[in-house]
Amino acid sequence: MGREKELLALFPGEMRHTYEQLAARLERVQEIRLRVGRPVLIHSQGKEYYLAENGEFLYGSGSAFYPDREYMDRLFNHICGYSAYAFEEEIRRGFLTVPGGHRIGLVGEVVLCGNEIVSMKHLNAMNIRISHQIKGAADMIMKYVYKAGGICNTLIISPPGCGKTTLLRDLIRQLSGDAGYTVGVVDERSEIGGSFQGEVQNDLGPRTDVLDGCPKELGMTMLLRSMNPQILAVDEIGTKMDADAIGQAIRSGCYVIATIHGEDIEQLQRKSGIGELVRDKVFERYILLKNRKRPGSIAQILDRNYQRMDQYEADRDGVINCRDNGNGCYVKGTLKESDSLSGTGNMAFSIYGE
Amino acid sequence: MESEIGYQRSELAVVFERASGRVDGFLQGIVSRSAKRLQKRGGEDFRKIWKEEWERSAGESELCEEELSVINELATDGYQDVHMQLVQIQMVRERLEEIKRRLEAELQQKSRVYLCVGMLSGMVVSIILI
Repeated sequence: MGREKELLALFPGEMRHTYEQLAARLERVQEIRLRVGRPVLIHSQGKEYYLAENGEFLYGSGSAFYPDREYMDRLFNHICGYSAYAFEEEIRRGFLTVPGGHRIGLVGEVVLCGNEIVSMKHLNAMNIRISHQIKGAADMIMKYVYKAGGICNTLIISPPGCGKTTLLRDLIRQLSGDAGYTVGVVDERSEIGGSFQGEVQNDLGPRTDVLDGCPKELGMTMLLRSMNPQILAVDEIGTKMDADAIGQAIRSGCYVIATIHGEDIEQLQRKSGIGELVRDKVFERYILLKNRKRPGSIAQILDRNYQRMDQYEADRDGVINCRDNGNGCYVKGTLKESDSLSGTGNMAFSIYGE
Repeated sequence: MESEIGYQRSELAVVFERASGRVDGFLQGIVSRSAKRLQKRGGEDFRKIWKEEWERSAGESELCEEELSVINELATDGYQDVHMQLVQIQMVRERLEEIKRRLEAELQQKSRVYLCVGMLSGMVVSIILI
């Protein structure tokens, strides 16, 4: 089934006309936000639009479509295949993953038993996050991830919505592909693989094992014991337990690639658990993302000493000659006529040295 | 169905697909067609699918309106927890068993009447022949 049809299949037949235009430009859409009694909002390429019932994207809410409770209930039941009980655990966690790897966040009245969430009722909002697999998204960073005889322990840092997971997904795909590494992925929120009923929906390469829906700290230990990965990949680390599990994985001889919410290195250093890993220089590469023109834009690449690796200066002849502080290698290359003589950007030159 | 839902937590489409291999006759048709329509995710309401499939096989099943209405109660919008879903199935099963008991009692009563009528008819024929 094509991605367009996959998205339309989320909606019951009589609702589909509203989302047909949106499905046609799915590659540019990040989120569809539905709220009871509020206008439907679309997030596309960093902009926000209202959605009309006929599917038009609007700048104002005047003719926007306002779903009611019945609409939301009907949509929810359809998404669950009229089997909400089968998604009990996912509902408890507040999101569902559907075919295509799209993720649907749910908000409503939480049903508690003691301090434990047992269910959610009277759903009043849904956030359909469109999964985008951008093959080649990690092309720019691949050369920084390799080191002599292995892979650098790498941390991808960015605020939400800047493309951390997209970058991680492609990094995994490339390392598991031609690079030939066995990669173990702990996909706690089914965002990397987009697994639906145990089947990984995104291309993560031929040597990738995905542990889906498992808490990160448990999953990392399980994968180390059971699948013997060369690289462990995890999304959105943050707790002390995550940091401990990463420390253990690295001590076991495994490389770790992880993502984390954050703005910069200074902020991460202040966090408990992860901050210790950063201060102890466990990570050898830091990839900082910013949502500039499009998600996944790389702002900085730092080595383990927090020195920029993507910044270079060229001499008047356009020859670049600088030392890479991370692993003692030197980089050398020549700028094209169109490039500026100094600044930051893609480096397409050879790495040589120790 | 109960174990598929209770232990496997399978979706209804899967539950029906697996159940279709364990039943036969008109029931197999209903269950497998329902599974296919659910798997297609064509946007059809499950209650509508279930009702239509039973109506389509009404001639073969010979069920009365009351029995069909109880069976239609199996098609809910889906409870969010497995326990409630199983309770719903159990309730439908109990109501169907109750109907079955009532019909068996009626059948027994009616078969006694038919037996008496048969014997009397036989005696009448014998008397006429004598």
